[in-house]
Amino acid sequence: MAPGYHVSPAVSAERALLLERAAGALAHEGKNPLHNMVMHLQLLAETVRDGEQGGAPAERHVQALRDGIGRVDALLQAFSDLASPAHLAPDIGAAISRAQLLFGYEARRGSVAVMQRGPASVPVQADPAFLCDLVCHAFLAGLALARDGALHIVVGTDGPRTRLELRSEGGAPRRDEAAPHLEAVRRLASEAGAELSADLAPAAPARLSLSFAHPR
Amino acid sequence: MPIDTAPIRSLKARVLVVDDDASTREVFGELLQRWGYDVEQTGDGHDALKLVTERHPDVIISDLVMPKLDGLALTRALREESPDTPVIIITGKGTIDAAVEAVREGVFDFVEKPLDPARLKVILQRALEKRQTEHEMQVLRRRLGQVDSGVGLVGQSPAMRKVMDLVEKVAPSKASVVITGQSGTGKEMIARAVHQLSPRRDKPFIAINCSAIPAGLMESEMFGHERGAFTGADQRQLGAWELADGGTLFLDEVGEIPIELQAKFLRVLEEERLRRLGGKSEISIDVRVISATNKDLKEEIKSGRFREDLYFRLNVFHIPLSPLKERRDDIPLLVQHFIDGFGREGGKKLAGLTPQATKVLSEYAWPGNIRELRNTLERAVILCGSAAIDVEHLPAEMAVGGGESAYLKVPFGLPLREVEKEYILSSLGRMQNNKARTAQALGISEKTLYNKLYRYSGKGPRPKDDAYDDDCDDDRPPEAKATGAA
Repeated sequence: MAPGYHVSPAVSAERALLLERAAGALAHEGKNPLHNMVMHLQLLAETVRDGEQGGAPAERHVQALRDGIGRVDALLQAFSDLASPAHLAPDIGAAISRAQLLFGYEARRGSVAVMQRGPASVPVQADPAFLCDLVCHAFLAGLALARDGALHIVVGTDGPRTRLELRSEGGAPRRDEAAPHLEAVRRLASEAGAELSADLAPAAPARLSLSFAHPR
Repeated sequence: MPIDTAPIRSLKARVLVVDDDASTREVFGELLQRWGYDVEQTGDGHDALKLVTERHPDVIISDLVMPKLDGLALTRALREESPDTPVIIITGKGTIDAAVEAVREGVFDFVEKPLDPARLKVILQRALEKRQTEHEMQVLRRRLGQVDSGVGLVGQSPAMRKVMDLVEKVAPSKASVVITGQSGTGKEMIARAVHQLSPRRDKPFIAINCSAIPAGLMESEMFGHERGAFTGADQRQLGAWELADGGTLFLDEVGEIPIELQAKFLRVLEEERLRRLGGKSEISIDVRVISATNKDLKEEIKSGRFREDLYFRLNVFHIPLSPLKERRDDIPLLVQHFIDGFGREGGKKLAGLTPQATKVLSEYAWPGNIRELRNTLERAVILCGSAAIDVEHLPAEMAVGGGESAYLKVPFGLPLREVEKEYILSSLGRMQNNKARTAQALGISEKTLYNKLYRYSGKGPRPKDDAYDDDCDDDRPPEAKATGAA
């Protein structure tokens, strides 16, 4: 959080929790591309050692190494943005992509199929210092409510506002796990300048909707 | 005896890679294939379970965190399905707790990403060695109790030379063989010789005596079972067919296979596939079958106790073995072979046989064939100490006259008392009037023998103090004896 921001102890605690989880996820998610890079390096070394003809196999491994480096870089960037969001442009599409990148591991661990619709970049009018945390908490709440099921994410315009909707379907919802994130979403929505509507009735699919004004 | 053990089924070990990250799966698969493994891949634990039952991988490499069924749950499920398949868990986030839990669940190794390829190679090698050891243990457990016959292919008689010729001809093929011959003629020895001379010599030779397995257990013993297949099946067991995979299955007393199981045997022979009891999938096998019997299988077919189609499938090649009495030329060679063997085993230097003992062994009828000869010599080697084996070291009944020329001919209609008298006097003559050895050979006491001889001499009633110690010459009916009636 940038200097000069005054945040409540509750927001600070929630932020610390989020960063801790993101750090854990980063350690895990970063290892997959590193692991793949090590394997491709080995294949590349064996290809060269065995003097195999043709550049295609070697080029493929080199490309895989580039992809791996790109993936690690994106993860580090996402974590860096989460750690100091004040400089970010307020973009709801980028925020949800960041949340997915950082917490995709949590989705796999909870056996949640995540499906997203909408543009990758949707600028909104919001305080970037809170938007990043808000979207991450909303995503984690959606995952907990969609355990062993599906989480549908839709980003789109709704008249004068831009809407981010998360709908958790099927499976075995973990309401206890979702509760602290829902609490954070409620607290941060007003700080970020978003309107929150939620439908959390036990019998129906859980729905969280955040709407933002278009940028001026 | 050399122990036949088999490496894992395929020359190329099969590795199943389970990871929900497609790029990780693919690069793993590519590297492992380059290292000479057959690789299957899946991104889902449930699919992995299905592949395990269908493809029987030798090792499984699984990610820890996966949707639906994670690496540890997969390991748990595999404990039921395929307990001897090693599971290597790889994870991006290795904690002590996770590692401890993994070990408790029985994973073979728990390693963190990124994984050093050199280490991966070593782990895989160790896992395969463990898998092979488990397999060998099962083979050895099954072989425990199967004792070495101690018989080599010994003999120079025309009959034996013909058998050796047949063995050499059939061994290199995969043809099913039926060996027939009386009990003790060395059918298993011939089966082993076929196996040893075949390209399968480094794979298992599993011998099953079909008459020794209770009918109710035969199916499980032959086809194996999964855990929980029936009451008492507390763990998976491979059957004889599977244990012999790549090698030879010897079915001794094949005529004793229950008729209701014969169709199943036939199907395995024809399709080279089987399903364990309680199993969900079929398993491919490659087994050469050698059968043996002392029954006339054609008679068994006529009487409905043996399937004709199974007979034709088993009897592609026939090796008949002659009884020992029809190849007496081989007896001196066999005697020398066994004496040498038992002398070595007992750490003794034996002085050989006396001419009298050699004569007895050569003339005896050997109804128990080579097995009887072997047992006779084993006993004689123990009894003779360091001296030469003599007639006294041979069973008494053999010395009484086991030779073909020494049978007692008795005309029909001769009273039983006269038959007894003829037999006793003839035995005494062959024992050079040695009453102690004659009594021993006849299974009566020396006193009884003396009493009988006294009566045969026609000297009237026996002395009063010389009471009978048995009733062998009292041929009155039992009720008469009990009442004292004449």
